[in-house]
This record gives sequence, structure tokens and C-alpha cells, in this order.
Amino acid sequence: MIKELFLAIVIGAILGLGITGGYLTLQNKDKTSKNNTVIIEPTLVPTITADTNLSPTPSSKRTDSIEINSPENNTLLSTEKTIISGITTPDSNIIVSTISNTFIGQSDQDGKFSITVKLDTGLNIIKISSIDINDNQKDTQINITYSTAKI
Amino acid sequence: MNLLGILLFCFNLISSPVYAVETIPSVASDKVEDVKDILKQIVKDTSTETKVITNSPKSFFGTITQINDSQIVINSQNQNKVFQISTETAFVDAKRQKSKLANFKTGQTILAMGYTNQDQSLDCKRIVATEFKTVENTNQIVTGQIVDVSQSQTSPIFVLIPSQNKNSQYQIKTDSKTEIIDLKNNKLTFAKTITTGKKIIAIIQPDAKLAQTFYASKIISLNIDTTSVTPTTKP
Repeated sequence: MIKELFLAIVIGAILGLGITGGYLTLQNKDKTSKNNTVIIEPTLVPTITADTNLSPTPSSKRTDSIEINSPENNTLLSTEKTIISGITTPDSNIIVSTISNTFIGQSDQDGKFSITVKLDTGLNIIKISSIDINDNQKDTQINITYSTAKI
Repeated sequence: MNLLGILLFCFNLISSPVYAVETIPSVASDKVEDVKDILKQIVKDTSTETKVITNSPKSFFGTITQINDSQIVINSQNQNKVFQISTETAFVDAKRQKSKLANFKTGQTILAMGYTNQDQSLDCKRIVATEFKTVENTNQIVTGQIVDVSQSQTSPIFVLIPSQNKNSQYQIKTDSKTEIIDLKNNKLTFAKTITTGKKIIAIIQPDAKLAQTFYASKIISLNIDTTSVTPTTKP
């Protein structure tokens, strides 16, 4: 009787340990997989939103006129030289005229141009003309002031 | 029975797991804070850049329409511009000498320099009395074809028909100071460039002495076959 009872206890213990061991193993596995959860770190992605207040960028379009992108009209500069850049009809001759100097350049296949200009001291009323291959002439004008005075 | 009790006790010990405190949430929240800090920095930087752009100095030339101790209104390119005057505003007369607000009057032309405020008024830092005739750019850029060349008593004169308006014509004077070049800035001679039928771009100014006559300060030849006077080395 004692022998049978002991055998039953041993079998029960083995079964119990087996089941408990299995349960604990499964629980550990769950825990490990929980610990290994990949944390997705937020990355900074610039969000581009349409701003209706912005004027269209002239650098990406062709034009039948002449538009100056830089410098802006009425800009005050402290350097004697500046680069006048803009867009007009492709492959046009560009003439930039200040009171004392004239500068020549050419627009590229996209109509873009950049010309280095030497400014006179004070207000410069700058006349800019583009003349295309068919002799069509477009004119514009900007005011740029060159002053070394502390502003 | 004792053995059974021991076994059950052991069983109990094994089956009650002890869990460690999870640190993941705090790490994650730290990272969120880091991201917030980065975003704040980016927003701060962007707003600083915007401020720099909007605060670039401006200058406006125009005629004074209103003037008092605190502000000057000028008409510049058909727009009224309001300049706020402060103790920092410097005044300069037409002879580039230091001046004062009392010396400026309605109707006078000035060059006002300063920074644009958010309400589009301008903080005026410097006002310079400037006469229009001293800054006026009288240059005209004309493209066209030469139809006649003649020698006057003093200097050669040619007639240009502009491409833009073939019903008009310009009588253009030249002198020894007239610069004649091609599109690559090579110097050219008058004799080979200024001939009937040639296409040119002329930078001209009205002649103060002769009506309907202009003076050419620069002539740019558009004919690519024009011979340059740039000296070349003989082999």
C-alpha cells in the first residue's frame, strides 16, 4: 500500500513538475519576446505643406518677360559687387546698365542668368534688358543701394 | 505524507514566478522627450532664420509727402512708405554732411534706409538728401540695325532702326570714349563694326545739346563674323 502510494506521489510529482516547467517555459518565452519588442523610434521627416501665401518660384518656369530673383528691389547692400540673377527667354543676351557701367551676360537653355555687377556708392537705378535670338527685347529695372554706413 | 507536503511546497515555490521591473516604458519616454527637444530646437532655428530674412535692410528713394518728429512718409515708386524716426536715425544732407530732421521738408527727395517691421512700417536708421538728377539712370538699351553712317564735323554719327519699332529711328553720336565690343567683351574697331546693315545693341543717352540725338557710351556687335582687334601671336 505504501509502495503504491509512493509510486502515485512520484508519478504525480513528475506530471506536476512537467506541467509547471512547461508553463514557466512558455511564460518566459512570452516575457523574452516582450523584452525584445522593437521600439519604433520616431524619425524627423520634414512635412511639406502648401503655403497659399507663397508666390510661385520663378526659377522653375520659363517666361516671356524678364524677372529678377535676386537681389530684391530696394535692397540695401554693404558690398560693392552683387550678383543679379533672374529668368527670361532661353539663350538671350542680357545687358545690365548702371549709371557708370554696362555688364553683358547670357541666359542658359532654361532662361536663367547670373551677372556680377559693380555698384556705385548710394542709390543704383539698374536697367536690365534681355534680347532674344529674334531681337525681341524685354526690359526691367531695380533699385539697389550700396552703402557702407552702419545701419 | 511529509514527503507529499515537501513536494507540494517545492511545487509552490517553482510555480510562483518573480517578475523584474520593466524599464522599457521609461526608456521610451526619454526618447520621446529627446525627440521633443530636437523638434523644439528645429522650430527655434527656423523662426530665427525667418527673422533674419525679414530683417534685411531696405532702402527707398522717394519724395517726402509728410514729415513730423516721429515719422516721415515718402512716395516711392507710386507707393507711400512710412518711416518711423527715432533718436538713432542719422540725417545726412546732399553734400554728405551731418544734418538734422528740421532741415528736411515736404517735396524733397530722399534716400531712406532702415528695417521693415511686421506692420510694414520701417524703422528708419539713415536719411540722405538725394537729388533725382544725381542718381537718374538715363541709359537706354536699344537693339537694331544700322541704316546709315556719316561723319560729322566733330564725330561719327550713325542712324539705327530699333528692332522693336521699325517706324522710328535713333540718330546716334559716338566719340573716342565710345566702347565698341562683341558679346565676349573683345574690343572692336569702329570702321569694321559701324557699317550699314550691321546689327548692334547700343547703350545710349540723350544728347543734352542736340534734340533727337543720342550719345552711345557702349556699342555691342551682334554680328559674330566681326573681326576682333585683340592682338594675336603669329606663328
